[in-house]
Amino acid sequence: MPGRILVVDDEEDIREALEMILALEGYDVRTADCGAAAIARAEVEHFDLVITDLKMPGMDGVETLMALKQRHPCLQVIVATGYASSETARRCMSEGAHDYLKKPFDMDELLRIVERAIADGRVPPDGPSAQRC
Amino acid sequence: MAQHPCDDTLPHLPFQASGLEGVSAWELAEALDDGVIAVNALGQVQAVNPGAERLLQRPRAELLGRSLESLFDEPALLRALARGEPAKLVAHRASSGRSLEVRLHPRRGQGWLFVRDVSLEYARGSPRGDPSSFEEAQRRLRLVLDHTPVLLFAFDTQGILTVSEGKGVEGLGKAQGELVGESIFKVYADIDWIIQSVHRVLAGEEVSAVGNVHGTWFEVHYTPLRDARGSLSGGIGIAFDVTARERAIQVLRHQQSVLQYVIANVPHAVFWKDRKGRFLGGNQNFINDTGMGTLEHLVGKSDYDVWKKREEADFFVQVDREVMEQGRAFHDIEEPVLRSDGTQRTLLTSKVPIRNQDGHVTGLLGIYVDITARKRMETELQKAKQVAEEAARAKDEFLTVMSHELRTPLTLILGPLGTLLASSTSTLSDRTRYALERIHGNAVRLFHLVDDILDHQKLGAGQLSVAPQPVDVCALVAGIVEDARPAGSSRRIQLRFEPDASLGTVLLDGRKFEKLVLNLLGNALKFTPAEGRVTVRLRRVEGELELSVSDTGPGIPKDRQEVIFQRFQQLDGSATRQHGGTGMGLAIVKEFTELMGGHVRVESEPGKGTCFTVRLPAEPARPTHASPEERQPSGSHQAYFQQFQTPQQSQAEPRRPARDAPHLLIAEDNPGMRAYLAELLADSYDLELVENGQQAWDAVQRRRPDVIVSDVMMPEVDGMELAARLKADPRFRDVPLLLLTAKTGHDDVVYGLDAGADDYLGKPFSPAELKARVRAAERLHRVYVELDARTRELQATLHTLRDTQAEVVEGARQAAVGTLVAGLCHELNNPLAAIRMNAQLLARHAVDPKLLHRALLVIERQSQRCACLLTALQDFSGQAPVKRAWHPAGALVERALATASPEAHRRTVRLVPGLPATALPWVHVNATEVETALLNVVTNALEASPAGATVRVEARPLSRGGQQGLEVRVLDSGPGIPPAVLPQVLDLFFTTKAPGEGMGLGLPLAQQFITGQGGTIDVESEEGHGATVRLWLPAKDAPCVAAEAGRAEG
Repeated sequence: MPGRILVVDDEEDIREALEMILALEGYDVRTADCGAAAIARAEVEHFDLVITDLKMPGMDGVETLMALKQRHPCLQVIVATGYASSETARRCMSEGAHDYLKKPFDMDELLRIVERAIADGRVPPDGPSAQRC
Repeated sequence: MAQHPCDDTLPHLPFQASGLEGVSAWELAEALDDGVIAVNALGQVQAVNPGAERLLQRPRAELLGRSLESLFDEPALLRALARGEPAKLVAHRASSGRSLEVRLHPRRGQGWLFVRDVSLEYARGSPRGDPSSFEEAQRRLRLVLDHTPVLLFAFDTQGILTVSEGKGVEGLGKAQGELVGESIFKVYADIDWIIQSVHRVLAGEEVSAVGNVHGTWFEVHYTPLRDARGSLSGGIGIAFDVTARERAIQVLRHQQSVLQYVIANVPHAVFWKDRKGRFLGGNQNFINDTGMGTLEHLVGKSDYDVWKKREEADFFVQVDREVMEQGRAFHDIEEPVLRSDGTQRTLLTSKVPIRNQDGHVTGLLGIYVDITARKRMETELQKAKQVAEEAARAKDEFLTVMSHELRTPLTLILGPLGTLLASSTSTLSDRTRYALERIHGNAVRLFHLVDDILDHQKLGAGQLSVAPQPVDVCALVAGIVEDARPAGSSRRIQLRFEPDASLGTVLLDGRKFEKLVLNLLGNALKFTPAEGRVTVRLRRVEGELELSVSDTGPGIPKDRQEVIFQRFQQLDGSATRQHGGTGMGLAIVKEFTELMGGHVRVESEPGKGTCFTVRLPAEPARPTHASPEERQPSGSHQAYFQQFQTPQQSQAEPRRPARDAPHLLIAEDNPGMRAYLAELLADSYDLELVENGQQAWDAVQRRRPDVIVSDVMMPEVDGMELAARLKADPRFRDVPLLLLTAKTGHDDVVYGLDAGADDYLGKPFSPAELKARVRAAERLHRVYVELDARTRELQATLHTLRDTQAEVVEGARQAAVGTLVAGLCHELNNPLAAIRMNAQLLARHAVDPKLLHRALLVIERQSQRCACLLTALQDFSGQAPVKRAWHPAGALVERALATASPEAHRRTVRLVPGLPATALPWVHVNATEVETALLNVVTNALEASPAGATVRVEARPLSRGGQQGLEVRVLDSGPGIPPAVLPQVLDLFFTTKAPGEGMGLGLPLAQQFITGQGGTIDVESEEGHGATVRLWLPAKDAPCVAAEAGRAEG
């Protein structure tokens, strides 16, 4: 199931690695190096999923998540974090993140979560009225 | 007031009286004061006595022969004479001004006229006492005046009192006659109503008045007096003391006004009617209700005039009649009434008969209150109740339909499954068979549940009937007990059956009885702990069948023993309820038992156990009956009892994980789910299975697991509580806990994470997901353990540090270690992520050489980063040798600035150097340390600055305490440092940044390095206006080679 994914991370190496892994799985991947760039991209292009790092200079992951969710309520967002605190995860989930990823990622876990996020975003589980977006 | 005295008897002349014969009548007449005139039939005077001469003021000679008419200008006298009738009149003689009373006594064609002077009576109005004498009259008058509280007074036209008599005068503090000669206008000058009255009397008016004279009430009647010519000569008055009466009237008036006030202001409507049902009055509320407008319009009207609806008026009249005829009060009659404004109201009325002094009913008093609103509320409540009942009915129906609908798929699951399991030829592997048995057991459980619901609904709807058949009860119960045996023995519960062989075959509804036994036995198994005992007893008592099931469970408190038979009641309703189930089992037992004409009772003692006893009427089946029916097609109940069974570990082929597999603890109360989890994870983990949170907690104490997977809803200690306990204990805080929850909403996940869980998994989950999550948790733990080891090393170093660095605050240490780990986690995980992803990529995909090269470069670069980080830590721990040398300060500062400039650029912060034109002095230092210190301070300033801000770095020579030196100041325009934390900024690991943002090492390291070279560092800041860090190092204008030679080799 292909899909369009936007990867947001200030570290180029992570960005590229994610891009490569996801592209090899057949996803159409774009990248952004900060929250502001991600929001700008999401304005002009459609994405099925955004994977954003949590700790970034400028706008951090939670702010990016909130901004994206506000503009595109149906957009699925996964938050990646290097420091796995359940407090941060809780915060992201309550702000509408679909799931969270702990660095360092396991490729299988990453791909499974990505696949599920895109599937959840596409097919409302109980028909069109059951889901708000 | 001058009442003419009435006397209708004529004077009887004495000459006819006995004993006076011989005395001439005329002789007597001569002696009389009154005038006597004898006239003939023509009315001519025949004789007059001296009295007549005096009264008529004419001598006898002049009077004789004159006509009656000429004497009294009264034709009536002559007419009466002619008719021979007596007459009496008062003749006013203008000539003398006298008033003369004239009586005509006709006598044989002639007439006698008796004349009396009544001028005095006319003039003074004095009552005539005994007609015989004026003195007597005077005496009587005196008597009256002296003994009755009367005031008699007369006054002339000037108001001068001529008479002031009567006892009443004394009441005013005056003697009788005392006021004579005084002016009434003066005496009563201050009493307006008297003055007014006197004026009116003197104007010729008769006046009656009531008024107050110095506290005493008088009723006064005035009459004007006229002289003989008829002109006003004054007035007389008589006054009575009416104080008592007036007081009584006032009291009455007061009472009346209170009553009126009450009637007008009660919230009720009040009305009263006469005997004929006509309204006599009502208060404003009533008048408003009738729409009559005013009381005048109401009075005299009947109910038919007032109310719009005839039938309502009929009703009122009917009630009124009953009240008045029966003479008793009617209370709280509900009356509908259509008000004049068109609104239909409901009244609550009471009617009371009104009686007069004799006790006769003269009317009725009605009082009512409008209860329309209350009535409407009652109606609405009634409606709401109906709606609620309908909803409950609809729900019941839905439940029934649902249960029916569920039966079909369940039957289709159970049928083929039973066949599959029963077929001896099938080639099922042990594992498959085990899995199928579990599916079968749970489906049977579901089936029973659906059955219970259906039975329950039917019972509620009264659709369940009893169908007695001959049943061999002992065999039936024995069969059920046998089926329950595996479940019992799995928990080492001793299961005993004590039948009564004499029972034989009885008439009983077999299906229902079977259900009773199943439910009671299931209940007992559920609540009996391992090693316990369950006994089923069957016997005949007093001609009835008695079934008892006793257990050694926890027992039921006295106050709860009634409740357990209610539907959906379980003793412990909380999330930590000991046992699953709907709480319907016992309700069904009670309902079925009663349906079958029996009764159930429970005996229980908390801590000892419980015994349920069912008594049922059960006649022995007569031998004519056919042989007892076969057991129901439900067949074996083994599957039903499977739910109370503890599955044996590795019932399937035992699988041993690798020797050093991570230790995984699974806490799950549902045996099926527990076994399923175990099966999924047994390959990769060294498993330990427990049934609840308490057992899990005990297990953790015994052997520390690498990962815990726990259900949330568990008896006693649930998953949340387990999480809280683990996180509160420093020994187990790091053990990853993965919660399994039946709820998967975001809120529930958040709740679970809040409770301290490291991860969550919603039921139902896929096996792959479970495995991945457990793997992730286990990996996290491994990293944690590694970091923990590293932390321990650091802690050891810290111990050494603390010896030399007194400023490291003891209290901050524990918290600081946590923060350091948090920071390190982030700093290490980022490069690790890059390395790992690239490595995995390379491992899985055949990539082209260009990509391979790139990936390797990333791995190289990121590993380097990790290495640097570790080196920094090592540097910090002070293991690197200290090398000092002479350096020009300017070069050190510039190098630090150059190193920091990319970071400044990245943050879009301007880094402005402020170096003097002259060369800076030389310093004898370890260049790396000083540069690092400077860099740390500058980086700290950059991090504190918002985008677009400026950080200034100034350096200048500065002597302190006679010693030459160098000062470097780093100024930022960030938010500044709050005064409260300012003293702490140089403390090790203190940071205001969020975890992962920095380690709190920068400034303390700088301080360590600078003080290590004999310098000082201090921070100044004002909140909102940035911060300034000042470094000072001893310095010289030129390097001192001799000094260096001695130390540089260190």
